[in-house]
Amino acid sequence: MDLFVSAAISDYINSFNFIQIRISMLSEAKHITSYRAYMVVLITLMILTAVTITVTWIDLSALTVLTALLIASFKAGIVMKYFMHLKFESSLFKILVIMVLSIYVLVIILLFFDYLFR
Amino acid sequence: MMAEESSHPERGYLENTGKRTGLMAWLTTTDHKRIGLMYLYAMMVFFLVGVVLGELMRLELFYPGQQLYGPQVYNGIFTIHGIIMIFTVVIPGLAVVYGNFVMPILIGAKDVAFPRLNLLSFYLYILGAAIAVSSQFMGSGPPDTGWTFYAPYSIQSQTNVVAAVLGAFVLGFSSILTGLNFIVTIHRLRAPGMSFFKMPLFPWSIYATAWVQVLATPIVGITLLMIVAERWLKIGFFDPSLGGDPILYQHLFWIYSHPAVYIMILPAMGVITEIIPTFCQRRVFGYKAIAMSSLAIAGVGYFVWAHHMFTSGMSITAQWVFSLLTFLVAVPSAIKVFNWVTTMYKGAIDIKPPFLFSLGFIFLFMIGGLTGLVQGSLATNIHVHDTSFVVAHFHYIIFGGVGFAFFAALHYWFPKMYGRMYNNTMANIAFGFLFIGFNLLYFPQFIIGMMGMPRRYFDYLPQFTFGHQLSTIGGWILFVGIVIMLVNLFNRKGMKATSNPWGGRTLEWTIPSPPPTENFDVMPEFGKDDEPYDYK
Amino acid sequence: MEHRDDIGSRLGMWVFIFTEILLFGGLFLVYAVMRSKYSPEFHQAALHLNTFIGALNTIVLLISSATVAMSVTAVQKGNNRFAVRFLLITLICAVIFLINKYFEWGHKISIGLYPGSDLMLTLNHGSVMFFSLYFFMTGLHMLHLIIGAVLLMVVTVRVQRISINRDRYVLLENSGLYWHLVDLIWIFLFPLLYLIT
Repeated sequence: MDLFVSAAISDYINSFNFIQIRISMLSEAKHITSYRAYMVVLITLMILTAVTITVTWIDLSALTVLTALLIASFKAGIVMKYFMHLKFESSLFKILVIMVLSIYVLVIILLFFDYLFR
Repeated sequence: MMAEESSHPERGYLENTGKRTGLMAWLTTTDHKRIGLMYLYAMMVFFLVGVVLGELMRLELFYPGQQLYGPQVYNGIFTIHGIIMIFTVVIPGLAVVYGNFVMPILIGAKDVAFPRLNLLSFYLYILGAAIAVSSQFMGSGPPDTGWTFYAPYSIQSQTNVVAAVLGAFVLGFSSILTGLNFIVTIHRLRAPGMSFFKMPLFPWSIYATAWVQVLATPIVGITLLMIVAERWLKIGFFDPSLGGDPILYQHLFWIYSHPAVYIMILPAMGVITEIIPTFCQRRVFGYKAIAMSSLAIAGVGYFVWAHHMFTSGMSITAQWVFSLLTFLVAVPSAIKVFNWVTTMYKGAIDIKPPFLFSLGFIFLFMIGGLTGLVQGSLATNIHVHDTSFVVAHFHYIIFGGVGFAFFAALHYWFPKMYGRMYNNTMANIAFGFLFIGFNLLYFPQFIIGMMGMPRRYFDYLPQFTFGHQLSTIGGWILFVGIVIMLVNLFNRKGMKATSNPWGGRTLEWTIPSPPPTENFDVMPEFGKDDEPYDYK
Repeated sequence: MEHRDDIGSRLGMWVFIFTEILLFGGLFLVYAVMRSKYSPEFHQAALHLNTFIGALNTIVLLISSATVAMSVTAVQKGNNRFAVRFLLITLICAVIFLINKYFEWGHKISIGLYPGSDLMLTLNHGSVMFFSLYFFMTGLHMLHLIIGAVLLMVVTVRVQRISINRDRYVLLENSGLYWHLVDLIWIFLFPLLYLIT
């Protein structure tokens, strides 16, 4: 879900002009991300880190955890999408990431059918 | 319908053509076929050790009371029997032998995606097995926890738990790397024109298996490390006196170990799906259903683990959720059985040894599967949990299922791997001993289990004696069958094999027996209308 | 003719990353269970952690992720000298992280706050679980960080020697992916261990 949500961020970042050099080697077109784009992502991540710290100073009990985790997931999403280049890989990679994370989340949910109802 | 052409006179991949000679040529090989054979030989050794351990148990259980040795030794025997059979035989199982040897050929590839990683997997396998076996010989004595290493006893036991656990950890790493290799192989190295849905069904099963290997094994990896950390550092996750929960260990352990049984059975089912069309000379009924059911078994299989824990003390909510999911996962397996039987309908059936073993598989797997439902149901589970009933159930699935499928695959692909046939009559006789021995060994265990015989007990009440004796005798008959089978296969007296002795339609039967190192002289290409099971 | 499949190579690395996610996932499962069981004690125990150092480590790792990503761009553009500089910054960040961790752990161990210590045995259950998780999770993370750093050192040498270059750099990409994994894990560890006060 974070990958879709960060579409907004990607538009923002796109406005900083990616350099799109298509180098064909071994029939593979490669996308090159600019230094600037990476800096933007880094600054975004640092801002989000600051937000997380501030939010956790406010005690909303369960909601605090949830917010912190959501922000962390979003950060993870943009690390995967930009630093790890997931945005520019074939859709197979994205499908697999979603599949793996879904299985993990379902396992946690099932585990808590025990712990929440003891 | 036998192919007329004869195989090449040379010995194909069995010949050393590189710089190295003799043993070193094998130990440094990256040829998937040689690696598959090395796994086969190692596994056969471990299997025979495991069988002997099993026979030792059955010998002690012939009468109530102590015969040969006492309870501590007995506990050590069933522990290492489980560790060896599970971690070094059935989990690697058909995947590392036939997944390695045959799968790349079936998809038209020269080798796997990462051949050197493949060799590393093999060495990690040997290393892990060695570490696990070393637990038998070190100072504190063989572990007595069972292969399941349940806390708190695995934390408290004074035996060599750490060695066994670390051995299992290394074996798990081997399994992960193999799974990774197979996933990339199947995604990237299929022959031109062979889409996923033109791929034969054995590679499909290997693909599903590989995902389970890759996603489930790490969980047991970290859990085993936690055991070590508890023993050495007192981290206390499973220790109530420090705040931990022993049931948490069971959860973590079974989150892997249940999917692990699908690692065992999926390639087995894949092999059966290859064998049946060949000996019925008919295309498989419901190709897509079988492919999808492999994925469904792998997928749903992640979510049923706590059916091993119904009596552990977890919440009743969890119990009925997992019971429901357990019944669900039986459905795709049943779909496969229907498809196999329907494939046979109106086929030109030729009962050669591979097919005979496959029929044995279907019968034994069904008994195992149906008795699984008895345990999946909460009320009956309470009655049979931790009894011989469970032992019989999983041996029907693992030995009757995975084991017989392994034997079927061995008889099916033996001519391809070695370029020689074997004696069909002797193979059938071996099957007879195996089938009769197997049922005599395990069926009584259902009965005495329901009567109340606990599992992992070295002694028992007199009313269970007759059942135990039948079982032990069955074990001897089974053992004779194993010997006959292996002697028949490996006595090197069989006649030369052609490239297609069974009349199969998949790619491995288009190349010589044994295959050349590069598998294919010409890269096979699949046209728009080609299909994997191209029978008339 | 050399048979190279860079996409296959990256796919393999991603699959390996999935296994690492599940490996740490097991620990996060234990965390989730213990946190739900001992919520107030976890809040209390987390006060012993230095949020400033934790935040610093987070920033340092984020920077290191950015620089390793930028080193890939540099190589793609044929600028190996820049790439080496970016990689060196990444490695310096790794060292800073490890130094911080050394002081963090060292301090706790010196006051007797570690699994199995006499002090630990006097604490309440929730605190014991918190600190066990803290040491196990950050310890395993540190191990992976060291592995990643070693990988990147090898890669830096090869970039320096131009054996990694604009025509073949999948080793750099894959090592970068591994490094990003190390960062990803910390992105979750930081709030769950340090920010629950």
